[in-house]
Amino acid sequence: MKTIGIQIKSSEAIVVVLEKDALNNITQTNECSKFKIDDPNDHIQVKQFRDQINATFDLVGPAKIGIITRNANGKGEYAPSPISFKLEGIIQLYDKVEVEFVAPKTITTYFKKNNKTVKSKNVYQENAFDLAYYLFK
Amino acid sequence: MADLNDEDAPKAIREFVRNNPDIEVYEYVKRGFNGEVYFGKRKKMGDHVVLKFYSAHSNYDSTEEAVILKSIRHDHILEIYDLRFLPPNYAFFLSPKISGGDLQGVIDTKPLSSKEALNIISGLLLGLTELHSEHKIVHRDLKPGNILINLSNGHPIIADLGAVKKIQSVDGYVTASKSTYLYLPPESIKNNQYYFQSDIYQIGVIMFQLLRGFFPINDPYKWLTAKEEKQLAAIRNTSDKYKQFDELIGKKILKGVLADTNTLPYFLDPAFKRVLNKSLNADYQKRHLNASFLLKEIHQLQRNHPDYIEEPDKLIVRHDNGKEFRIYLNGKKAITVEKCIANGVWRKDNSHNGTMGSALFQARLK
Repeated sequence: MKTIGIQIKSSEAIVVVLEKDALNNITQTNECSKFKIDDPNDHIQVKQFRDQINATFDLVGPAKIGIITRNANGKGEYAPSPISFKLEGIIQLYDKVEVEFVAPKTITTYFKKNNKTVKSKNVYQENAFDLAYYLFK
Repeated sequence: MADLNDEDAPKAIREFVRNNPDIEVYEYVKRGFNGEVYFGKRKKMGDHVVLKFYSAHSNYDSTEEAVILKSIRHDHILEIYDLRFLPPNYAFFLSPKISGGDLQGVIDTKPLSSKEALNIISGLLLGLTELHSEHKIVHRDLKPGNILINLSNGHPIIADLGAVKKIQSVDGYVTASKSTYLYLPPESIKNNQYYFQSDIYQIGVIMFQLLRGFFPINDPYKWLTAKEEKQLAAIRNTSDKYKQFDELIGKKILKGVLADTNTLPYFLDPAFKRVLNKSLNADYQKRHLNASFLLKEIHQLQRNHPDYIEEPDKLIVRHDNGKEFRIYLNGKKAITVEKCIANGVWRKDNSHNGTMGSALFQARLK
């Protein structure tokens, strides 16, 4: 079983894929990637982003997909922007698996009571990793 | 019925197309060693269709692959209306006739610009994603002759699905198809193995061809050195000759020199070569992990580089913002650069130092 955790950061979507085997061992697969739109007004780039996301999701075949919710009035790491709303919208349109939103607080609370058995391979993927891990709950 | 001139086709097939009550067959084309193709018009539907026959086992149309193929509906994969066994040992696909013919015919007629080539590869990768993900099947015979072009929208369509095979696990493999030798990946030549990444290799070869790397498909002897040609000429028996030729080509595939990225046109940015070297890597595990990884890189090439259009007497470099350059040799054989903004007037651009490298550098600036 696989899960996909996504963090939208400025104009990028950081995608982490985790896999749980029959013995409940969790591993981070090498299908993780980053996707971005350089120019949100360029319709070709918007369609390319859609195609890349859909192709990735199709090839991974996840049981669950989640995006870290950003506070509409937030600042800093989770601050929204017109591009990030666009990225979220495109990801949400994926119709083979429902895409759910999870608040950062929910993930933090979960890991206060549950320990991770593996760590994220890269620091920049940590938030998306935690979300993908949380989706196994 | 029109005179089909299909005397070379097997009797069972000839009789079938003549006695088919639903389709008025009007044209026959021989394709390769194992492919009889007929074009016709469905009497009731009024649309044009293609009947493609293959050699097959008696349970062919009930195999898992056949059942999968009948269910696929995708913009970049040829729709199969029907797939049936024809005794004693044939099977046929019934599919729509696609307006633009095959990609090999397109590139034989007119070379593509770099953006046109990348658009075709993007479309193929979307089709490949559908085969690899949803259905876990590999095509095993991807080449320009098996890609159709829809003239109404320019979309490429993966066709000739007769060699598809299901792979049971992500890192599993099947045996290679006895398809066109020139497109076989190294692992198929070496160990008769075919992986999901083997389809990526074949897409790489198609991209290499579209971008006009040295790939003399219509005159394959050009791949051979003088010594190899001499060696081949000394063989009298035709089948031994073919065998030896395949062996020589196989060695070049294993060495990675059949599609040698050093032969790509001088004007392409190094990023093109990098992407191709990865998809054509002799080790399948070092290629792009899957179609989406290659798709992402193709999109980066589309975003970051201008369109290159090579014409007999000049090179045109076209940017998305409407800026366009043309580079050519003037009457005194000196490199000349002209610039035009949004279809305006062409003006000389003398900001280069007279070398091709410098002229290209200027033309690549947005």
